[in-house]
Amino acid sequence: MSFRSWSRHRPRWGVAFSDRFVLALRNDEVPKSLTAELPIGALAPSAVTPNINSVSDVAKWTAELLEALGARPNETVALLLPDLAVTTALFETPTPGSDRQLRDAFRERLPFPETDARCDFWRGRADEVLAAGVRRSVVAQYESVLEAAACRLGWVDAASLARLPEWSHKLSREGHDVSVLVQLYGSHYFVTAFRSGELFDLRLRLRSPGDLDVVTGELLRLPKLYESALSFLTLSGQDARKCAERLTSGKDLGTVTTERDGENAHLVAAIRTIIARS
Amino acid sequence: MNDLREGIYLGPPPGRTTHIVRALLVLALLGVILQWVLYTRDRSRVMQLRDTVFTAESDSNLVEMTEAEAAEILHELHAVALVGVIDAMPPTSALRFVETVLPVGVVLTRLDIDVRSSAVFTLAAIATSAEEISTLQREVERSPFVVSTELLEERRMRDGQLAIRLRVEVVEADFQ
Repeated sequence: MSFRSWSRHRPRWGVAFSDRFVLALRNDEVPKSLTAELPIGALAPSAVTPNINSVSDVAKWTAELLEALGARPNETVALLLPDLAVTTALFETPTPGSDRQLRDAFRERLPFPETDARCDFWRGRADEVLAAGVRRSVVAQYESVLEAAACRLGWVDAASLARLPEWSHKLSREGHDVSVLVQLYGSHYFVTAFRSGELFDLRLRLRSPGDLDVVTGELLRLPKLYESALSFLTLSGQDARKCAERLTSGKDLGTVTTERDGENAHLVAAIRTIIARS
Repeated sequence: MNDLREGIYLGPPPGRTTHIVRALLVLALLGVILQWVLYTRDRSRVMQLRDTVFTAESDSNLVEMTEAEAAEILHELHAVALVGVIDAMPPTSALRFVETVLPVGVVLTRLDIDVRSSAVFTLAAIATSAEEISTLQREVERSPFVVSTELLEERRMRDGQLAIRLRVEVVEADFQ
């Protein structure tokens, strides 16, 4: 077998964390994933305070998942952080001056000392900028989990940010007017709105597990808020199908579709995106 | 800032060590390329020489080759065979030259040939007096093949004799 084909068929790995479970993915030709439920309080995502109660316990569960999927020591593993551990901001066009000014503007919004931040920025097609920052002490815990599980760290991103570049690219190519992507999780949801591929709105909202009313209520208000009917409304994640069923008769919501139903399936897609990127 | 194809990266930034390792790898790569270029150049010279020898062998009328041409080919073949480096000075040439210029009473202790340079060697000798050293230098400089000399070291030993090291640059490797 030549090196190139060996490299292409070599499984690649990713791990996602939520407040309820750890998900590990073996991204082979046929991806396989396993989850381990976490005890209540074992992991509490926050942008400011430490997230993991016991790094060694979470590392043990993560290592068991990876081992069950056939991972060997020192595999490079992509890491998907919970949304609530990451601070995000959107700077619409025109963005504030130089990159330096942009960084300063973002750092002012951080809920912790800026010297303790690890930040990155993504510039979209219309020059809008998506900014994300994580506290070093917070991300260090997740990195420690992977290190303790005998893994090497690959790409690191937040669950709901991972697929935004891909979506922006797709929507700009298809030329839809206003499209909304809703990523649903057990205890929160993440709404992003695009106009011809340009990201122009981004909102993270908490919800009680299984509460669909709060989600549908907000989505029904979006056309009025944006002063425009939507072309597409795509839902992905926990309760995506149920939400879509409730919204099909909604006014000005455009075509309502479900991309992936279930938080696991949604996270698997996000991990695969960042694995492909790294 | 990332371009459209990528996204947010919140992992640790590449450390300084990574940059140093990358720089070292680049330098190593450049070194390998330089070695390869030098090897290719030497190899092509050897192939050229081989072709010349084969042509001469296949030529039924060898006597047509002048004595100088034959001597040149032989000299190059000797150089490659003895030193292993194209254009290097054969040790025999340098030794023969030193034999002719060494005054009586001066003992040759060492002869270093710089294989990277085709026309430089360093001789070390022991003499009983400064006059003998002057004679040696004069004899060397008198040779029409010598471009320059440089007295690298002159020191008196415990037994009173003088030890010297003399760097000699000649016209070219086949100065004999």
